[in-house]
Amino acid sequence: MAPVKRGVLLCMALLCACVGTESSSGKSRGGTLVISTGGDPDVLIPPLLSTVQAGQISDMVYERLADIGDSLNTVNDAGFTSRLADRWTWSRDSLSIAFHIDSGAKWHDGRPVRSSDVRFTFQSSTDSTLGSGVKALVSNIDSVTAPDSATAIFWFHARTPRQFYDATYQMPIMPEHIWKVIAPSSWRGSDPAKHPIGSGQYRFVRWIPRAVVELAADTANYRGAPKLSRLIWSIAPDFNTAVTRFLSGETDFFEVLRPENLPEVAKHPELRTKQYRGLAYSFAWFNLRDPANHSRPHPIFGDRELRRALTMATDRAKLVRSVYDSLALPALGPAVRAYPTTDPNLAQIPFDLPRARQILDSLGWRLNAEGVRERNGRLLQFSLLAASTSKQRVQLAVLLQEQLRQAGVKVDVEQLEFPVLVERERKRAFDAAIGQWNTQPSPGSIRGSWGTMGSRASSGTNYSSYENPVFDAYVDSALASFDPAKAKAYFTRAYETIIEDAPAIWLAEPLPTVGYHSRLQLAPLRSDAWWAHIPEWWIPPDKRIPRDNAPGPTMSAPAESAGKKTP
Amino acid sequence: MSGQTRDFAPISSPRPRESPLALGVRRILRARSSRAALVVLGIIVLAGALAPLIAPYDPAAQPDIVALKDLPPSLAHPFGTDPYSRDVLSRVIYGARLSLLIGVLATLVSLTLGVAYGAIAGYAGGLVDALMMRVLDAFLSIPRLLLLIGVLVAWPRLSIAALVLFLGFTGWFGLSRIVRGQVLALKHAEFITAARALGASRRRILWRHLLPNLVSPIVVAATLGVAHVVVLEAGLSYLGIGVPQPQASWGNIIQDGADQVAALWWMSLFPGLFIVFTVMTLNILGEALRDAYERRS
Amino acid sequence: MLRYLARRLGQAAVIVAIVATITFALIHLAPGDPFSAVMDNPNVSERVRATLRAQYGLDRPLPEQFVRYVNQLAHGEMGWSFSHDRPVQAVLATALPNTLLLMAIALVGSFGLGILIALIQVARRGSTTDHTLSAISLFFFSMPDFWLAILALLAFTYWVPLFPVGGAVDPVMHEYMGLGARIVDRLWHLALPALTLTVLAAPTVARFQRAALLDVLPADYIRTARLKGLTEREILRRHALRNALLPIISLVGLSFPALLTGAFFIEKIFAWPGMGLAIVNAIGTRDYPLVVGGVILGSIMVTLGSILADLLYVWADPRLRAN
Repeated sequence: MAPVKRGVLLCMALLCACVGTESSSGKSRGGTLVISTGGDPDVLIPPLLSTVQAGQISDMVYERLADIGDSLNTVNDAGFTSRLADRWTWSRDSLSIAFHIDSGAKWHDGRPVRSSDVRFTFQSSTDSTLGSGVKALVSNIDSVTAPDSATAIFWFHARTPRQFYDATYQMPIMPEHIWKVIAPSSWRGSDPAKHPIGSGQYRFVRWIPRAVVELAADTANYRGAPKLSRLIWSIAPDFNTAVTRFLSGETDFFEVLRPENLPEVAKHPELRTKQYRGLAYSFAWFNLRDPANHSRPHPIFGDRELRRALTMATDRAKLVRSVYDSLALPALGPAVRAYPTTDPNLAQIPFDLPRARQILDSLGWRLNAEGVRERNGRLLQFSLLAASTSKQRVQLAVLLQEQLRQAGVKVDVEQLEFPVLVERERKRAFDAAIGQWNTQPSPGSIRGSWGTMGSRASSGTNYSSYENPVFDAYVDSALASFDPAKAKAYFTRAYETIIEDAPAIWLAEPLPTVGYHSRLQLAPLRSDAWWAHIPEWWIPPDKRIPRDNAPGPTMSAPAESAGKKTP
Repeated sequence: MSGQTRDFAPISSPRPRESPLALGVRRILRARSSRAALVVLGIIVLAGALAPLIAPYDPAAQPDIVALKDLPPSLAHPFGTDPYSRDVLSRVIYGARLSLLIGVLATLVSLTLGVAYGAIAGYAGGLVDALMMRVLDAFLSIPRLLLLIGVLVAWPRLSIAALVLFLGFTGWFGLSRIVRGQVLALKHAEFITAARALGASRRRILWRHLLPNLVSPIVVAATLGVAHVVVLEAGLSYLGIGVPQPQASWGNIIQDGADQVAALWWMSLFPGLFIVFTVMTLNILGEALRDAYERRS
Repeated sequence: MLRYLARRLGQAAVIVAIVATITFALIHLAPGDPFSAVMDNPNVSERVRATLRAQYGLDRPLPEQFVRYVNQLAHGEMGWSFSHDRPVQAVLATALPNTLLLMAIALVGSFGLGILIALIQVARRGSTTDHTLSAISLFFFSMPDFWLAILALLAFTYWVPLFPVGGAVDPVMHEYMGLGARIVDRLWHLALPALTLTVLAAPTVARFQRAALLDVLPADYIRTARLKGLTEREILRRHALRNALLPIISLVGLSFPALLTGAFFIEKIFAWPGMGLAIVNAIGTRDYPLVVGGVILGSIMVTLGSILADLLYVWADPRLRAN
């Protein structure tokens, strides 16, 4: 062969090799993840969102200063990995932490992330006109200062085990330059709420209410592009349709399979399931205040003995087995077993129907001719709200209705859509409701849902209005301890207190089971957020299906063009 | 899909030779299809009426919410059990009772309102009549289900009595038109003028002349009306704004199983079949009656 | 003809005005204040609340509120849907075409199918075919709309997966399909709901048309045709059908309410993004303004539909046209 030709061939071979290596590392990039979900996000503003879907999307678009590790160690900073902050320094007295913002961090609109954004995020989260529930959770943080554009210093009131956690976990950072110009009370309906700009590894593309949310990989992200190039949430009108879409191959991932779905999944060889320890517990809580007059106790539920009797009348183990089969454990109380601070042998109110009847009799509630208990002309009757969007909660409600009927209590089940239910709870305009908390990694989140401050604050979520200073004191002591054994002991006392007070009937602790398409290579599923490691998920090139290779969207995506369907 | 009430106003002689009821019954008994329909309907009505006696289980009882839930049909539970371990056959039987009761009561309300409204309009005549008819047209232009949804969304926690009332309030429009037609025709009939000339009081005229002529359209409207309400109530319960838990109505049972239609097929199939047969038989009977009365005039 | 149309439109306006009054009464008779659902909702921005307060005069006496309400309606404004976070008329305007599409197809399909069945029945009147078809017709006629929809969904998307599970388009891929693929996608999603609604509406037409044909058959001109030696089939086609088609046209106008009601359940079960689904979803969210808007729109549709049918009737019947 002529030397020139050999040379050309060699060059071509080299070129191919170069291109080959490039594409083999780029080859693992690509693919679409379609998540099947049964609910619409409520609002894509981190301090305001309250639905799981909104949380997932927000966590992809926005970033925190540092992320918690998979072991959920919330004490000090050992368990955390850097995100927006590439390093941090504690002051000598540990009353302040200085975070250094990664110099390459940029917002999706190109502007650099500055420490003023961090300060702004803190100020907004604690602004009472915004009404965010985050305010109650970051009460230990006094202020955030920004001495220069790359440093944000958090100043704390006191040294606590969870200083670092409070500063990082509760507040995904938002861009000041976009949100500053809008008054907090108008954030919800505003334009940026519908097209969030963050600094995360995924950019927002579009949101068609009740249909689709789409995110695209931020290929120029300072932390590197994520492997999957598109994330799509396919929002189905109800749970059943969502599961069917997963089973039929229209979607790739489903986050909460029910026991009756498992045999179906088994029939599809290309689908898999995975279970992990969750951080959720469900309950039927009572409104301890009179809905007609919040300063008075509830005419029925104000009585602690009566609440205990109602709990005693319920066969909770059977209830949980009936609704969840093997995919849940009976709840111990307002605590999950995944916390190291939870004692799995907490004393419970036993199921004892005859004794419950006795107690109700002794309280003066006597059975009338129709089999309903009565006292001084008032019937032992109340309405139990359940979110119509969750079949399991409705089931729990109907089962509870029948169980309490055995004890002479008349329960009316009322089904409402989730946002309407929350609204009623917020206004304390309810008797009892089935609820579920997906708790945070810190056991301290209990202050917001069962503490006095959560009941008093206008943005608190203690809708039951349970207020017990003894309980508060135990929780505070537990949270202040650096010694894990001491913390656990305090928490045990706190949980025992609230279990005895019975402001709710503790129901189930679900064991979340996800379903996914086998071509997906998952990363570990974190208990508080299975989606936390999505940027590391990938699809091998040889396993890709047609929709993985569909052309991506244009960079500037319109919100809702005319002609799109809005059911 | 529902049928339409036709506007007919036959002018007939004051004293029919055979009472409408007897005529209707005779017509029904004559044809094979309507005899069969009568028997089937009778069985369903009887089952509902005797529900406490013949239902094998308490329809609200949840005997074993773990071991007995979601069972397919078997000897012990011929229609299977629901997700709360309640026996579906018992619930269907009690459902017959409740759905038919609601149907009958609501239709009674409709009939009363329809007759009253139509009679007043026809009797008053003139501007009052025109106005009342326009209002009637307005109500007729709103599909009944839509009107019910509009009303029921505002009153979220309804008792069954209230549900019956609302169903009744929305079903009288067609009948009142017919009644009005009858009244108008009667107003100008000769024998009425003669009777008035002879000194008969208004009430007497009403009693002896108007009402007997109304019996036929009322009976037909009633029969078809019950069928319509049964379907409507099933639809409302399916949407979640009908009969509340834990009471059983046919629509309720379908709704309980709506989440797992494939897995719990017995919860959709049996109540649905009962609805279909009830409505079919009522339609057959209603049309037989209508044929009988039309042929006569 | 024009005078007739003008007169009917005038009547329609009166009817819609009365419907507006009825809905206003409904709004204010309901327990609690339906507007409070919007006004107290923290998800609704202050801007929207101020607009509503100004538009509807919510703190003014009732008669003034009524005048404002009618005024707003006349401008096509029906309030704020807080569950959609958009004006009610915007929500309904987006959803309405989907419902109209379903209803149009079902109208054409059901009338075609119904007339065909009726013809077969009359051609073989008295035979077993006639009786069987009558029974089947009655069976489907008596079925609750949602029941057939559930069965159809079960049968054709689950047991025999021929069609997609609800929706109007593929939620994930539709945006990225080519034009041809998009059309196919839409048709494929449209097929089952449209078919179901057609099957639900056809029996009424079949029964009506059968009765109309049987009424016409004893007529004199039919006997003449028979004496002239025409076959039964030709008689049916050339004479009976043409005359029996006239009453069918009046059925078109009468079938609008039933089609609309049927569409409600079909849309819910097949997740078809039309007016019915919007209103059914509004039940769960207690989005009262949207429901009331739907009631008004529904009544307008029915009224216009019946006017259309009447016009069609007048045009089709040469006897009436002469007047």
